[in-house]
Amino acid sequence: MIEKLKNIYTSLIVKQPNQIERAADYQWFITPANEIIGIEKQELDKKDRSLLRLFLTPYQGAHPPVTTREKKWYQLINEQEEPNFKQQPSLYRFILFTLSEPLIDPTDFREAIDGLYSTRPAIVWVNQLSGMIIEEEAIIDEEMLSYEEMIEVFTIDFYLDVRFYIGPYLSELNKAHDYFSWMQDSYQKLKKFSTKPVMSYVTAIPYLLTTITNQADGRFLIDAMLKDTVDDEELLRSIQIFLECNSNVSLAAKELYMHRNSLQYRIDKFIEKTTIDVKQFENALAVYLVLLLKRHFD
Amino acid sequence: MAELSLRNIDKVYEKDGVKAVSDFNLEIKDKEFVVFVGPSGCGKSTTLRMIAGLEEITSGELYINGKLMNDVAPKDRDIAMVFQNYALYPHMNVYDNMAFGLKLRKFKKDEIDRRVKDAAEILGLEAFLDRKPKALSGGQRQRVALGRAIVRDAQVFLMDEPLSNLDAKLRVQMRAEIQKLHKRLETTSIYVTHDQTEAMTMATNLVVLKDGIIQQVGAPKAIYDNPDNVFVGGFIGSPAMNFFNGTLDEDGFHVSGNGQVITVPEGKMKVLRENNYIGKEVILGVRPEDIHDEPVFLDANPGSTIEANIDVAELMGSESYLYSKLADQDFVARVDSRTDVSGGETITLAFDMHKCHFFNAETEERIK
Ligand SMILES: Nc1ncnc2c1ncn2[C@@H]1O[C@H](COP(=O)(O)OP(=O)(O)OP(=O)(O)O)[C@@H](O)[C@H]1O
Ligand SMILES: [Mg+2]
Repeated sequence: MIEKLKNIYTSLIVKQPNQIERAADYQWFITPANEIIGIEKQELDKKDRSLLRLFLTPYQGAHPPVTTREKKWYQLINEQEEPNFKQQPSLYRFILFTLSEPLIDPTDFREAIDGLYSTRPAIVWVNQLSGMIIEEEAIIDEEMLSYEEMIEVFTIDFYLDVRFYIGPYLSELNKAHDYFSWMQDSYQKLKKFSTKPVMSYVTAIPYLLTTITNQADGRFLIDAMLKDTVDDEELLRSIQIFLECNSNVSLAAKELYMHRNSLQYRIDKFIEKTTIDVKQFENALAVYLVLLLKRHFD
Repeated sequence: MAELSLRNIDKVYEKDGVKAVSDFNLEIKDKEFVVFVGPSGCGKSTTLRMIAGLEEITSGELYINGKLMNDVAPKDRDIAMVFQNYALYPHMNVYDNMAFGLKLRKFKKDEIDRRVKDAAEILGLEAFLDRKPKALSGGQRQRVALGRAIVRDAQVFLMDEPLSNLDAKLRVQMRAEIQKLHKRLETTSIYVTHDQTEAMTMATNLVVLKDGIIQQVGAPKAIYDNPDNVFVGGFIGSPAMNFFNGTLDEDGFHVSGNGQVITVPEGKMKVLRENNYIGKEVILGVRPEDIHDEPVFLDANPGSTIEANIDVAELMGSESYLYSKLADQDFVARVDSRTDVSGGETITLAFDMHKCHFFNAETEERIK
């Protein structure tokens, strides 16, 4: 259908409004296949619009950023310019959320989020049905609900199905742009495999690996997961052997000709640096697959 | 007032083609407190979420007050929900936690105020309206979570295991609280739990589920007294119903393994005969409290006595649970604790065969 429409409206693009400049010059629609298309307004007259509305849903696009900090993040993510934050973010992660239906008033959502965090987090909307909550280290407090609990409060108040996809912590601001689109892409892939309401990129790794087709995506994953340990070959080798020995420290220590305590120390170091508890099965699996992927790329 | 009607409802999850709910048929009357009970994964939450509109109905119809709801948005179904984590906004006070849902729906300030204060009064939360959740006890938080639903003044309450994360004592307390609330508000309610005690004590109408299929619907007592199949018999009641394999002939029930014959009362025998079970394998179901040790009972029922070597005797207070085997088939008897028995002893017990049930050995359906 899109191809046929393109023959009629030459300005037609298949994109999100926030992926292009001059988004306001376009009229946006959602196709029955849930694709978002834009057609330049000047190419449409009133009759065209009425006709298109018969089989396409008009689309308002993402809610714009509101707070100053949100605007800065928005710039950063859209690579418009290097923003100067009043307080430079140190550690940050993206929490992708999706809603089953668009909200009538995005300020309602904002108010709910404010009730969940002690300090207002930035929200960058991708479109009307999804966006990213930006969790900076500074806003995390011990009263914070689990994401499952957040879903409950949202569902009860908004009567919506809400889902979360939790990204890794990063410190480099210049990666925010890639991180943002990686989150969206990987979520799209992940959705095909799993429907859990809360997913973390760690849980997602086995699935994601099966869909990785280019080095850049793979490298992103490796760096995000292994963090500082990524160049510590010796440490990574110990971890790999540890995992290959069914996570049995004594056995792995023997294999590595080292003392049990030294290996234990390395494992602790790995956990501390990556914040991934490699002793748990799901995490172990994810780390192992990423290690294999790294070997493959190296 | 609200009546619900679920007709031939199926749910198939697209991703893996799992049929989570099959041909679900249920009529829910106004003011009823319906409980869905069943083991993990049997489709309780899925059914509840379809009623709420959070999950699409694959096929079949859902009516609320005669109106087809399949394509009605959740917010327009006039329902209120409570979930298991009794989660609240940590940075809103009790008042705002209750008021927020109404604010979203653009209710007038004084209407919100009236409803929140009414709910607070019902729940005994008036003194806590200014507090943040952090400064509340577990029970108070749970009540605020209920308050968030009550203020909606909805026609239907949907509750998914609201007590499952509470400790045992608080659970009993909140169970009573929810029942009291239902008596007062009379809102048609659907309550999901995997806890059969909760189900038995709370339900006006009980729906037992397994593998996405309704096993039995009825009043808790009726289901307890007359379970339709082995699963229901075993799931409802604690300790669970005992089951014995054996074969029938005109003398009675022959226990598999040792061939002991247990006399079957003529009334039951007649039903078994009429259904052609003579000479066939059947399953005998006996509730633990229908196994007796009182001398008077033993004397009166010589045809159903057994010699039981007691493995373990658990003193539960006024009663004792005696664990034993009948020809290698495990069973539990629930007897008066005046009987002083300890593990290793052999005593005589007798089944109350008037209260027992027979099930088809293949289909596991009750023979009736
Ligand atoms: N989103 C989903 N995608 C695929 N399958 C699902 C999904 N949600 C539930 N299921 C499956 O449907 C079946 C019923 O699940 P449901 O959550 O309704 O069970 P439940 O009775 O509520 O169990 P529990 O007591 O564990 O909460 C299960 O087999 C479950 O794995
Ligand atoms: Mg459930």
